[in-house]
Amino acid sequence: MKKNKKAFHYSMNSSVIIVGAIIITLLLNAILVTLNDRFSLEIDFTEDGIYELTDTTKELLDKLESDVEMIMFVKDNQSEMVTMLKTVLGKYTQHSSKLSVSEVNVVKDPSAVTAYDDIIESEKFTVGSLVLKNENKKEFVSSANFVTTDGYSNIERSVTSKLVNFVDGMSLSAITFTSGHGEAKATSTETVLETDAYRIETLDTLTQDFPSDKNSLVVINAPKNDFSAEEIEKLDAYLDRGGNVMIAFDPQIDAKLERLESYLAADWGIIRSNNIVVDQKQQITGTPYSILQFTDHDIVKPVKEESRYVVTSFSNSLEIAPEVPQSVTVKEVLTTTQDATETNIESLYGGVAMPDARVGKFNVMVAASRDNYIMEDNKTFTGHLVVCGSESMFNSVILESRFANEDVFLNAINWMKGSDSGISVRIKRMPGGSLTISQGHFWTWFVVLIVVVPLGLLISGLVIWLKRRYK
Amino acid sequence: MVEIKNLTKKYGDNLAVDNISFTVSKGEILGFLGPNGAGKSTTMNILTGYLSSTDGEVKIDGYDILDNPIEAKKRIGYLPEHPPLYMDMTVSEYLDFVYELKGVKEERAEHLGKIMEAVKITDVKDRLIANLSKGYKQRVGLAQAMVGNPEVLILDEPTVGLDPKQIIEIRDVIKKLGREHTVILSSHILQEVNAICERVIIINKGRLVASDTAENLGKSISNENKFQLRVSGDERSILDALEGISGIKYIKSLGRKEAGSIDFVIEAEPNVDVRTPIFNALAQNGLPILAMQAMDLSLEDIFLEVTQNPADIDAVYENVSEDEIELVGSSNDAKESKKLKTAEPATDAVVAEIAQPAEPATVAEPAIVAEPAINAEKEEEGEEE
Amino acid sequence: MKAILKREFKSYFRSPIGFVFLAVFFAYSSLMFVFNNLLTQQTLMKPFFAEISMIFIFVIPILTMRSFAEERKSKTDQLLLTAPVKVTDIVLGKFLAAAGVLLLAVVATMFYVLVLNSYGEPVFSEIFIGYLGLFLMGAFFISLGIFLSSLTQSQVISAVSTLAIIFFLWFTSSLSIKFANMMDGAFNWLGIFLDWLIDFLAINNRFADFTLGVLNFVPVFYFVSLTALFLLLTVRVIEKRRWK
Repeated sequence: MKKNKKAFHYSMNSSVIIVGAIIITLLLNAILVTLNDRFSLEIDFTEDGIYELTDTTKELLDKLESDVEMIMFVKDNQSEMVTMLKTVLGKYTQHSSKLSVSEVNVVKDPSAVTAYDDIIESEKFTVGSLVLKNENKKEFVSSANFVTTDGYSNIERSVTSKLVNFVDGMSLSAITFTSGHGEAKATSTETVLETDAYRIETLDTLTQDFPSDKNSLVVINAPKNDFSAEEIEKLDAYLDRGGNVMIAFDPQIDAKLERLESYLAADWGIIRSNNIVVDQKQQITGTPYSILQFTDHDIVKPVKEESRYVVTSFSNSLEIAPEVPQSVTVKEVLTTTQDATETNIESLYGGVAMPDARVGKFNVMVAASRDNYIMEDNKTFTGHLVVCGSESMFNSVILESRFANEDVFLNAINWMKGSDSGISVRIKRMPGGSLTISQGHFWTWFVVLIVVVPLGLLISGLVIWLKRRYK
Repeated sequence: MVEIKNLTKKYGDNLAVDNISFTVSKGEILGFLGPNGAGKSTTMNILTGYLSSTDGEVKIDGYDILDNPIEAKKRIGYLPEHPPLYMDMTVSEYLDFVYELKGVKEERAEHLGKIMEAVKITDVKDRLIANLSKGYKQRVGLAQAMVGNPEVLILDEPTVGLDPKQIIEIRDVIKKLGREHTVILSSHILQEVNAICERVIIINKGRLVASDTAENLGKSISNENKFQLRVSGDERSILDALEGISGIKYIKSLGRKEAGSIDFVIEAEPNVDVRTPIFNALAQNGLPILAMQAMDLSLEDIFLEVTQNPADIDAVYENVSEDEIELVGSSNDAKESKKLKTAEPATDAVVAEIAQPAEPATVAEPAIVAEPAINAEKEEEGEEE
Repeated sequence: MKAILKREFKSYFRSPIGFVFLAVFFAYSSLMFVFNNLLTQQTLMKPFFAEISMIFIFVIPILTMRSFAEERKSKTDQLLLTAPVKVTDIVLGKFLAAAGVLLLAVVATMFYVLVLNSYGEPVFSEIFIGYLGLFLMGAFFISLGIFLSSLTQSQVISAVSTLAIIFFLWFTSSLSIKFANMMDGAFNWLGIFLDWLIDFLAINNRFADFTLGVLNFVPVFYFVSLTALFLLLTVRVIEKRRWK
């Protein structure tokens, strides 16, 4: 009975093959899913690599020493943003085994949310928000600005900047905002800085000392009141030791800041004009913003290369004195065109024409540096100063990512600090964009695509079939 | 060329093919005879690798159909009972496809052209197969089997459902093919096998019941001395006259066939010539012999004997139309064949010797019930065209 | 295999079947394109892909119902199975032919990207991944349809069962039952397994990965392995019938 065996073998083999194939398929798929949690098994084809981590994040993750749990707050039906967030967080866990992701369903399990009440900022709490925690620390990451209105993703930037706090020996570098002179609250600027991993601090210059850290940076944002002589002295000393200061004036506040302005003029050769420059030809229709011109300065170089726009509304002009102290170098950063006109608040709101109003090119932003040799340290320190004629440039406008104001602001910080000292993860364009299609074209395509082409296919099918039928 | 050993096929508990063995040598035309449902198609499907055997071995030119199916199949051209035609293709499209499917090496146009000439379908080559008549479809099916010049042609009921003219044409084609190919041909029509084949295999209920040349087969089974007699006179006196002739085994009256005469079948002991004593006896009694004929068993007789079963016989005769019988012109004339239908079954001794013990046929019966219906359907199809 | 592939592919266009498939596919996808992109004036094709893939429920059976069912019914399978070709080649030829028609349909809809390009700035690489996913998913459904077609002689049964199973796989994606929560204690493992299985079968979720513009090898392998599995099962079904 030789062949009987053959038939038997065949049916055995057949069953074994079928069962084996099913098991192997399920198993391999399960293994791959598990592997995918640890290793990247994908290629990102999006324009900006929206699902890929930047090197900055990767380096940071490599420094992570303690286990960090990322708790994600979700609902039953997931929004696209949450799907995207999960994918991006997956990239984090793939890169570092120290990280883990868990989900809390805010609808089904509201009590789980209360456990994090202490750090959740309720006004910023939306689905997709995260809490990062390890044994000692908790951080809240709001999903409010994960996606910008014009289609950019901030997810990686927001998450990475908060993760910095969990890296031992790596604190966020601080940016100090002065207070005590009626400075404007720079909410938008702070948001940008926080998402870019800076710690925001405030400094009462009257009572507190300037930071001693060479890597620090002080922002004087739209002061209304003048500095005292003592404060000016502190400021100068800070700059002498290699400090970095950014000053932004508010042209709409008609206050002369005598001591501060004369310090800038005398020690740095930067003169603030008490005027308002308007570059009407560069104004973007429907907005109060005018496009500024780039110089060759390092701060604006990258933006210039990408040919993006930096805009401002009103601005003071900043002249560079013909004579500057020898140790000081001053350069224009952003200017108007030759066609800008000068006006002032009186003429703008009071209707009184400004006497001797000039027409021409005005500086809106200048940057200066000053070398100072300190004997006791046997070292030359370079202090940096960036002065901006318009505080609006780095306020509300900064969040509109179609303009490059944010980039210039961060570049200025990097230029002063001398390196990419902050964690800067660039924002990434999300898939998709807009179309401009007229009604006429819309209906043409409607008819052609939905009716004409399918009908044509059906008819040609019918014709071919009928022709063959009678062969 | 084709070697079959102990072939068995079981469908569940049903034995469709039961331990069949035979060989076909190169250039031989083998007839595969059996009633419907006897296992002919199953055997052929196993030979061609369409089905697998439960047991046994099939070798084509030395290649086992299971172990080396590609090599074995390369050597086979198969025309199944129902020709495997794609109705949505034209004849030449279809043959092109078969040509590519079989991976034929020969020059395409020439090769296919020759085949189409041989089966006479050149004039319909651009027509849709669906629109062809039954006869043409059958020829396209035959052409398909011939593509690639396989050494073995296996043809399952190649003439079924064809009209007499078509049958003769197809048979001629097959005869011609037999000169260069080994042909295995199945049929339930005796004349067909008789007309084409050199050797015949008879199967019934899955079992091989006879295998020999058509001639030898007749002899071996009719190892008996039987003849038919028509005598003028009344039955009683004829039987009286014949009584006492030594060597007669039995005399059976067939009744009145012609006015004033009676027909008889007489069987004598083997090797005893009783014709002269019979003539003398009847002549003495003034009973003239109108006809005396030796009864050589034709294929029909053999077939009936080996497949002995009243139901089978009916089925066989229902499928043999009068046209066919007359057209073929076999050694027996039509009337005699007809007579056999009414004749009593052949002697029990012969049946028991060759066929299997007469047990109720569970396998064959359902097939027999179904078969006439199928045939009727086929005829309807033919009429439509 | 090439002969079968060629014959099958041509046969789709000898009868109106291929044209009906292309026309229905194109009409439906055009509708989705016009409403998701032209009407909302966006270049993002994610919503388009999310909705277009539903058409497979209805068009894949058109493509696969005849495959083996018709072959058996008209007994032409005797020609294929007694020809010197492997069963694998027969199945593969039939699959590739249907996949070829699908590819034709998918490529035709790439015309939309050109339309987008003349009114906006679509990112080709992102969109291409979506098309790849669409094709891979369709190819899997075809292998499933061919498998179901090999089980029966009836085109209708073949078509209806294909439709039903694709619909079921579709529906699975929107199931949000968690068996693990319902089955505590001793049966917890079963619950976990069922959850895993449902997640595994939730084919639309696998496809969604492609619409993000990311080529992930996990769903690629998912579709390719399942396609191969069902083709293998088809081969086995046909082989098994010989041994019956």
